[in-house]
Amino acid sequence: MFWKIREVLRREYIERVRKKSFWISTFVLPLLFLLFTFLPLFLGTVSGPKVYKIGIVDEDGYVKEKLTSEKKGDKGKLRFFLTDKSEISKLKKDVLNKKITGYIVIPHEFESKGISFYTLNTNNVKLIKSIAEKFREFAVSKRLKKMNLNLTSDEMKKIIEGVKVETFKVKKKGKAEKSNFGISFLVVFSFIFILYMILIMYGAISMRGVIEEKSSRIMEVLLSMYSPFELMMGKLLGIGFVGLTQIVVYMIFAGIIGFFAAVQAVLILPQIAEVFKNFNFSIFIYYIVFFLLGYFMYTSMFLGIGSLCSTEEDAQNIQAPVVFLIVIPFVSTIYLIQNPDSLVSVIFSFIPFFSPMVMFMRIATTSPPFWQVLLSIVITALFTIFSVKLSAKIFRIGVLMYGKRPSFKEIFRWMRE
Amino acid sequence: MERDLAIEVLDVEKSFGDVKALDGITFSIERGEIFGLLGPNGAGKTTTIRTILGIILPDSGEIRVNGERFSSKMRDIFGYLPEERGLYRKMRVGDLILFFGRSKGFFSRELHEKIDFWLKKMELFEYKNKKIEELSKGMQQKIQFVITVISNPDIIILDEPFSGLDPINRDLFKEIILDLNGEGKTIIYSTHNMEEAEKLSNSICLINRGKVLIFGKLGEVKEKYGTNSIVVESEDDISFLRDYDFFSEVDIYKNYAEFTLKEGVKPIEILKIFTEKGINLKKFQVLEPSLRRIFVSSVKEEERRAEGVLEN
Repeated sequence: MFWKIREVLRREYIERVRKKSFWISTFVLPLLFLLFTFLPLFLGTVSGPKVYKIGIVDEDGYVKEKLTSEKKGDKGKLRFFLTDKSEISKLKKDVLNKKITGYIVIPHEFESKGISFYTLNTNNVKLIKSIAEKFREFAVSKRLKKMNLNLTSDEMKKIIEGVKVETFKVKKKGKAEKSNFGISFLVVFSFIFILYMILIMYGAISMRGVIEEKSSRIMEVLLSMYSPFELMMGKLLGIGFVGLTQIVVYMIFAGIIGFFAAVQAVLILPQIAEVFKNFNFSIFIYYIVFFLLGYFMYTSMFLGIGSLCSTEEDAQNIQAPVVFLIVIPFVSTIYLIQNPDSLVSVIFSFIPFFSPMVMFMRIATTSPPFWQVLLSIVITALFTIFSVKLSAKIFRIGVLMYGKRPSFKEIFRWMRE
Repeated sequence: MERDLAIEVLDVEKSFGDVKALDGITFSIERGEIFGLLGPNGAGKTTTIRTILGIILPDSGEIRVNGERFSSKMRDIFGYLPEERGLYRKMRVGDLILFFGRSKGFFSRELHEKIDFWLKKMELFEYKNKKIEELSKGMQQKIQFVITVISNPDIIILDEPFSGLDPINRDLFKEIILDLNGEGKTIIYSTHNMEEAEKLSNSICLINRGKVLIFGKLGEVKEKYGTNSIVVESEDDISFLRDYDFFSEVDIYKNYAEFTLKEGVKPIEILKIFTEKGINLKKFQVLEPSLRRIFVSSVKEEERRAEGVLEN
């Protein structure tokens, strides 16, 4: 019996892994993802001029005075040069010819009115941010001067310096670790999103497989060689291994990003590197455990449903309830992620259908007690076994049925048999 | 001499909802036979075959294979060609046959040789690495047949093997079936084409509405049902035979007639009528009736009996 299951598994695995669509979703998609997320960041740091030449048209006079007095020590990327109103048309030309980055017009009482920055690329957030910072300094010192407090530039900097807020993730064991909420939310979210995508995708794929075998009538030959149970288990495992392969590849990608990010942490992506430092290896193990549980739970149901249908149209209608059973937990998880230790989160992490995503989310964001993790896994595993058995019963009868789809009453009767 | 039975079907019943598909079917198949399972469409042929293969379980009764009760291990004894053909369209020919060979527990190196052997025999060797969907329908039929026999099964079950075949493939398959039978394989096939069954079968079982009407060796069946059948051909109009009352089964055309005489009526009496009327006969032959005739008459008789039961 086991070799029979193995043969079905083998065919399902090999045929699916050979498909172009598998290669695209496994290798090309993550590569594109990497490209689109990291390329702009990377290009942003590498390219761009070394210094920004910016003309200053000062109608207020304060900045002019400030700039001439402190000229010697200025090291930043911003290179200001003084000019005046009559030169504006020349400045414009220089900007267009890319001789200078832009020019700033400073009105009288700029500290309340603000300044105008004329440039070609108004999207250069970094540059605009550093100009704003610089002028904040000027504005503050002008205001202080008005109050008759005359300070040097260094003293100024000390006064206006902000306070950094560092976030720490509190853990059961060991010291609190530094974390970065924004990014780790994003990472946990992407983990769960991939889980959700894979569960839906592989559910649909396996269902379509059964319907194809039914509609191409190959099912009958298969049933003369395999028991329905062998057939279903072979499919479940075979397609499951395909999914596992894909997840492992994704993890390797994630690992590579993590590695490079760590190596080049200071250079490019310090936040990302930090996130990966915080993820310990056990997260990946849990991810695989919950993927497998969710996979077997949902896919067995999809296979059962597939066995009832003779055409894809049939399936569209009948599969909706199962799709909801994936979508609702996913949406709930996204809400619960802000409050991973709330009572609702804890309860949901023990309810099959919700547990794979909610429990994984809790493990990734906080440190739930180990007994909760274990309980969640046990409950989900038991329910998964139940779901596989029930689906096998439906599958056994469904695969030989053609034409009219059986009523729910009939299906219910098969389940009890 | 003890009969060496490959398959026994003992009083098998199977219902689908309210429909009784098999109503107490009993017959047996000897090893090395070509066994024809005959009947009109919807008679229960496919259900009978599926029951033998263990695809569906009977409600009552028993199937014995090689003298043992059916168990899942027995699946590997059979090679099965279903009535509705189907293959994995996206698979390569070689991989597909390999999969079905392995599905029967055939793992040895020999399997690869077998695949090449059969592909060459079917003149499809150069298509080994092509996908099924690239093949013509006739080629796919050949592949389906190869799948049936690739694991060298002892018992080969073919459900309507000749339906939808072109004459060339039909002859090819017939030849292969006879070859396999010559190697000692038991062949079971279903058909509603009586002429074919007549030429190919050693034994037949005729079923209708889930019941066995006739079962036995072809010769015995013909002998039993086949007395006093006459074929007449003439250049003159012989349709007047319809006015006579000698026949239990008639099939009379203007210049051709085929009929079975009622018990006690001698062929010579019919010949007398022709001579009295001065009819020019081209042919007057007393023969075993065709299987088709036996089939039609026993189905009609069965229906008459069923109606009689209803009336009472």
